[in-house]
Amino acid sequence: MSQPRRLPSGGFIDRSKTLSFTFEGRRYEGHPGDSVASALLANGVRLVGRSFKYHRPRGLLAAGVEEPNAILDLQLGAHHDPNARATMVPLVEGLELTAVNASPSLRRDKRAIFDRFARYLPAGFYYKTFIRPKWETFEGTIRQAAGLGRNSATSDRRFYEQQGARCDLLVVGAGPAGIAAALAGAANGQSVWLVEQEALPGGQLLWRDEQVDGQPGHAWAKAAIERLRALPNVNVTVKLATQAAAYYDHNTLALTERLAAPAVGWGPERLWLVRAGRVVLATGALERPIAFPDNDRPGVMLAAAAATYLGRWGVLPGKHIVLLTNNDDGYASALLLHRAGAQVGIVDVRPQVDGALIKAAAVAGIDVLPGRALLGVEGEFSVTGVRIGAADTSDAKEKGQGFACDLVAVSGGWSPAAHLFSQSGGKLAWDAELACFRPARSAQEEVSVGAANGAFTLAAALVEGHAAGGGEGPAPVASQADPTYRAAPYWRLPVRGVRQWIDFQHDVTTKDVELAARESYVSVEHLKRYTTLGMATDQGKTANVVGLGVMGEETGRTPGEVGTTTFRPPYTPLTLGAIAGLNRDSRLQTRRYLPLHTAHLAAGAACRDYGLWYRPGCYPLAGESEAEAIQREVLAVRRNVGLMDGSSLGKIEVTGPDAAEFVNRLYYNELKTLKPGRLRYCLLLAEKGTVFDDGVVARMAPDRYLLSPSSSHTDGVMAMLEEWHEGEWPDLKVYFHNVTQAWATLAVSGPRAREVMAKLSTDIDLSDAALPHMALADGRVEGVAARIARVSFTGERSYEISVPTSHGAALWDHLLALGRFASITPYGIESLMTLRTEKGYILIGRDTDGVTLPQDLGVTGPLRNKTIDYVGRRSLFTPEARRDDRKQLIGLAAEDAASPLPNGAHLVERGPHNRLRSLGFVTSSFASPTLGRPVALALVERGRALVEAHARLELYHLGQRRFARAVEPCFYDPKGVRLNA
Amino acid sequence: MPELAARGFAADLPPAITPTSVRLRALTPSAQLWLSGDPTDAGFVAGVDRVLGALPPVGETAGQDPLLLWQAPDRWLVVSETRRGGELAATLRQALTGVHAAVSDTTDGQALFEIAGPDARRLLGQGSTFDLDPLRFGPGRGAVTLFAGLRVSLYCLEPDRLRLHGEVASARFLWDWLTTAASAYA
Repeated sequence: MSQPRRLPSGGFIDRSKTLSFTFEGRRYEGHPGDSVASALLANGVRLVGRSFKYHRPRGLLAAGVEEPNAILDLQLGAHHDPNARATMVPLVEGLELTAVNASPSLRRDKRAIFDRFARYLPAGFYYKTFIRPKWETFEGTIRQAAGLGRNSATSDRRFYEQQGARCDLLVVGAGPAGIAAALAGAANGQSVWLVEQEALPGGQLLWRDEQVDGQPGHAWAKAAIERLRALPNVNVTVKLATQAAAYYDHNTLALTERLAAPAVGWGPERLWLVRAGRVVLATGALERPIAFPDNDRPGVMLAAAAATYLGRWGVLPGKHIVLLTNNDDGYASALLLHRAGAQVGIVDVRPQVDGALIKAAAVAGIDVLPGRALLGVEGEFSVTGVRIGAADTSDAKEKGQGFACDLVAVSGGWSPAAHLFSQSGGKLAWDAELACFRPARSAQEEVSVGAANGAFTLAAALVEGHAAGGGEGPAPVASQADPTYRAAPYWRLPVRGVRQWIDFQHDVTTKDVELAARESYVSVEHLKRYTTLGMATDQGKTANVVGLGVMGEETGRTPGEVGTTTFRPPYTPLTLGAIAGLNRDSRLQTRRYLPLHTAHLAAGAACRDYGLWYRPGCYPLAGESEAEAIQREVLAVRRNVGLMDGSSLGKIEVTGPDAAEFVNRLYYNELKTLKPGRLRYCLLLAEKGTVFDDGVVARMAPDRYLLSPSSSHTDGVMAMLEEWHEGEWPDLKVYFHNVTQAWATLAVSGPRAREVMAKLSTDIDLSDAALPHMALADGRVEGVAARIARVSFTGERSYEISVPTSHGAALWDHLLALGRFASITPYGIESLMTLRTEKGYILIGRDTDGVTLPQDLGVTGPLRNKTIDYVGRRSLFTPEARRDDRKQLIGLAAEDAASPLPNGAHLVERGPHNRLRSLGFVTSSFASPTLGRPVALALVERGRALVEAHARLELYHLGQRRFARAVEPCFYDPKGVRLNA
Repeated sequence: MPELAARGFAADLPPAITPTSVRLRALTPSAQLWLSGDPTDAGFVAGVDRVLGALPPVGETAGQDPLLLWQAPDRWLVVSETRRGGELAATLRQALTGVHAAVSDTTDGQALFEIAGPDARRLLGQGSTFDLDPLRFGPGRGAVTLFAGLRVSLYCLEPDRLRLHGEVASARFLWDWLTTAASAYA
């Protein structure tokens, strides 16, 4: 028989079909309905992996999401998962599985020797051992030795779908409590989402022998789901194989849905963000292990997991079973395993056990040993026996009495799966009676029900679920009287100094917790970081409470007094692909294209990203480098005429009877006195007085202004307008419209700009009398609506022509044709940077930093003359703002003309011991073809005084020294005569 | 003299290969205007009604052509596929003389996409967490929300036909997003 542990009947698998798969190169068979874990177990595979740190052999501990050991490398065709949890992967034909963290083979792992040196590898050993010469020396080797799988060498190119949804009631968990809640919610007309991490509904009804409303529990669950799906006129969504991974604010939960058949090119997981009016957490409970020496050997399994493999998949994991328990529910698992034909003996750590339990066990023929515990197990790759002794044994030398067995089932009591509850902000409290943390106080519109709430009996779960769904009338009825549930807080064999496993995935033992306690890492947060308890990919689902219990014993506290660490999303791992969704590659963030982008490409533009805008940096000719192109373009603007696409420059219309008052309160510069048809260069300050943006403000009419924020600041300025209007001055009658992208704006700049403009067909009077520098006019250009402004960022006579965006490309072509006689030359942002630096025109964010005030830039007129209270004003008069050692804008003339000063280079002074202190830094530095030497701007402490002293300054950059003179921050045409030339 | 030729944003978009369950179209309406005013001001409401034949709506759309799309408590997007932007803006301004209101022509500033078919809502759901449930976002409903991280105006024309306005400079990005998302339903 190919599946020696599979029973001839039972479980929810299709025995008529066979699926084949491989594990560690060997071929096995399973059935549809199997998980990878159940199929391995059916085939008698015990050894599934090696542990993280000590490389100890490991087998399956659990049957569900909490499994810490069975992390496998999975390959299916081109699909690769480097760390698949065997318990959660449905078996499909052709799976190729291998163990992780084992080399050369699972049985002969060369690093298994680490286990022999365990005494030298306690918690935190690497902090103590690998500090000399430095951690990085050892890091590579240590990371190689530890771990749970190897990442793929190739990236996953598939798309992952994300979706949003809303509902009145979201029920997490389709066990008895969750189904009862969903049924009740749907019955009273709510829109309901019911999500279940397993592929089948029912939760523990799938393997416990219990009845609901007179039906077998699993059949009731299946019928209930069918009923929910068939309800007319009610909006019910049932998602199986869907994990609630995270619980955020506003009752928003992230769910990951496993897709059986995604579209071609799409990944197997879908991420949902569901926002619910009310959330019912019916997430069930997780069984805990009990720590004892060698309790991590393959063949030591959680008792409920053993019963689950039996009930759900028809796999009997052992024939001779010793079941260790500290609670009443262990007996239920023992009875299930016994009835399936296993020989079972119960070891109960409690000296006094309820007579009824012992009697029921005796009736079934199960022996019970009260007051006993396991002192150890025999066998390396698979359990062959146990040693039993008194539960209060504290002597490490005590050997106990040996018993042969092939499976050790352990029930350490149940912990509500309160992870999502905790993520929602809810507070847990320790319940001494049930020996577990239970939800105590909700923080959102949420209620925990059933086992997730500590209601460990079926009848109570059904009642709680029904009530939470708003159910009227009677709840579904559990057909048999539930036994009561009691558990003793027995976490480990009370022997100190011996490794007893708590956190299987991170190899944290009782010895590590004892060490942490000895070294005063007694806070739960320190315990976690020092020992790494609960920090593995399973997030300590089986380990945390045991670890807290042991720490409590070491420090004389209850687990409640020790407290829990914060549960953080996700509950179970999800693929990074699902988190990213389509937000990757070209879809990660928008790239804004200029309306003339195609024309720029035709002109040979070398485009780059400037903020969100993708713009021409320059237009290299064939055989020309970008640096050469920039020099050529700069000279063309200085000597003839250039053409530039400035469409990204902001255009915000401010309209209303109070527009003048509003912009005057907002901007640093006086704007009420601005005459219609005129422009003013202005600074806009943040509330703390720092320069936020600069730009030209135009007055179009007495009640209408047009703001031109810089390209990257337009959205921020728009938000600032809205904020100040809404929050501070709602009484001012004013409206804002962002029309930036409705207009294409082309700048014609240079000494021959006027000649080119003279050829343009327009009804706008372009004479200097009608349209002087810093003026604008509306009209028509070549038959379309247009606006022409005299404004310059190059220092040359310039015209900015704006036309509706769709006409921009035609205007570009037209101007190139018109200007051919004057060798009109397209120029890009990089050329503009050189041009404006020659003129000392600043770029906010480059020549300023987050603390630059207007006076630091030498713009002090409004500071002295504008008396009304504008944004940021009060911060310009603080002691900080008046310090005389503030960084101020200056120009730098390099002593050597070899190359531009490095951008970002520090200006330094030398102190005692030749120690360098930074006085400031170079902000903009370029080779000026106009002047034939480098030019630079800098922000420097006491900059104005340095300029007046014509000081010689030392620059330091990556070990290189340069010298420069402090000069006025304007290198070309300081009087500005060329603006009108 | 012939005027400068026009080239709309759609000319730069690659053709969409979409499944039959969802159809994507890039549209260039002849007028798109930002309109601001006080919806409690009778003069404003009357002026808008006179020119556009609809009252300024709240939380939804009004009219058909021109269509009024609610943006904010005091702002609307006016869309027409028959009137010219400049002409419509001038007419509106004329009708609102003496009223505190603002009209700006943004015809070329906004890209418009139509998403139609049985999977239209699922496609939009990939880029937005807005509640697209047909029960709550049926014909006539509109919203300003985020799609693919960008501010968009979204509205429903018919149960399976929705439209989305977004900034024109991001038209290629939105088109990339929409066409990629559509491949999930191939």
